[in-house]
Amino acid sequence: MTSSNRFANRLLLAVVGLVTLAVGAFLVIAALPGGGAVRDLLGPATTAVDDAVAATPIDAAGATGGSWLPLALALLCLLLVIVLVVAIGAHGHGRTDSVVVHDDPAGSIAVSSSFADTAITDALSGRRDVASVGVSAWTVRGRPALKVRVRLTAGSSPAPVVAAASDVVRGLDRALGETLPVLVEVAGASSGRGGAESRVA
Amino acid sequence: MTDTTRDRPAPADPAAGRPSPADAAPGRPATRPIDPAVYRRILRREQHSSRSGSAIVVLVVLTLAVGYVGVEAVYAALGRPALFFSPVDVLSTLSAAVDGGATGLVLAAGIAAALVGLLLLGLAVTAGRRGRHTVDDDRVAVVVDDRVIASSLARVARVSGRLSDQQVSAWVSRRQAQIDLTPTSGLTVDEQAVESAARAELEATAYRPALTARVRTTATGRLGA
Repeated sequence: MTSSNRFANRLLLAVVGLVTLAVGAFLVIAALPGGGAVRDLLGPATTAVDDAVAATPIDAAGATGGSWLPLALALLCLLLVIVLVVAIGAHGHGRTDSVVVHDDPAGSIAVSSSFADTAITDALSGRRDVASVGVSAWTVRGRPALKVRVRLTAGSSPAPVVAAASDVVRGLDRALGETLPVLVEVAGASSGRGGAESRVA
Repeated sequence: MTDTTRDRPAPADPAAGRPSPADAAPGRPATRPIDPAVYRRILRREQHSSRSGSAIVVLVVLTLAVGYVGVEAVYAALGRPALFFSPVDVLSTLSAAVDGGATGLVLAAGIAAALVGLLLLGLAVTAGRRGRHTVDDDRVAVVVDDRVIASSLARVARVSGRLSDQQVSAWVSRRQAQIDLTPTSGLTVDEQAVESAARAELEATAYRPALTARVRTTATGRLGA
């Protein structure tokens, strides 16, 4: 339930994949015997780069002799690294601390997510078919939502647990005076990630 | 308000979607009902991979590559010899390699890059399903791991067929639940009983997409099972 931008993830993978594929195809064609036409592109491109480096001296008098193009490239790379690090840090956010916030003239009331955590965990963890319960609060479309992760003991049927969790959430509605979106995630007892390997004995 | 939601069989009516909690509990003061779009969004996101892992790997690799090119660019700007390659004369190095007999290396690098590109494109385009089914409920959104469904079916098969742990294995895919039975040598397995029990277990819960159970008994039994 993180707020990671999934379309951006897929767009990034597609763009990087396309560029990598294009570079690879270019190298393969250039290296194969039939790729003379592609190989002929390399010569003009090389001279174009050399001309550009020669035409952009740092010092107009030509005393130092260096071009400012590598310097510009270094700055561009620095900028790109900053953008990439920010993009890495943009993943995985969206958790919240309070499930209900009321702003009254007299003041503001916030109900902590640990209240919902304790209420739901206490109500469900006594069941024999439940191995463990975890509750986390997330922001979905600007409003708080709960995620209840229930691990079942091996072989238990999920339906009674889902019904029980639904009843518990209705009780929480009455206690909070507000209906929160709640996701119940039923997972197996042993799996680390869950869902990947569905064959069981 | 006539309470029609109670009588409606939930599994048979996919168009009903998720009834609002106010309908489900008429005795309670109606609070702001939950927008069905929120549940649709949550369930869609829970059933598919976010591709965040792959994206972060790509971003880290890109960061390292761009950072290294930046270092080389600084070396080139200062007029010092390159550490490994100079970004200024990449193209001349490449054309020299192609013309000068190092085509095998260029070919290998090209094939590797093309394969990585295809892999990334595949990750970008495929659905990335996480092996989960949803269950309709009046109040909450539910996702159930396929492992859990398979595990419960395996238990039902064990009990109804009077088999041991090692004789039953089950797996669940998007629309099908498969139960494999291994009989004890010399004895028959009551496949009908197992199949009807598995059907009953699946029908008790309205999984979406719907699951059909298939029971298969292996041709060769096992001694002492």
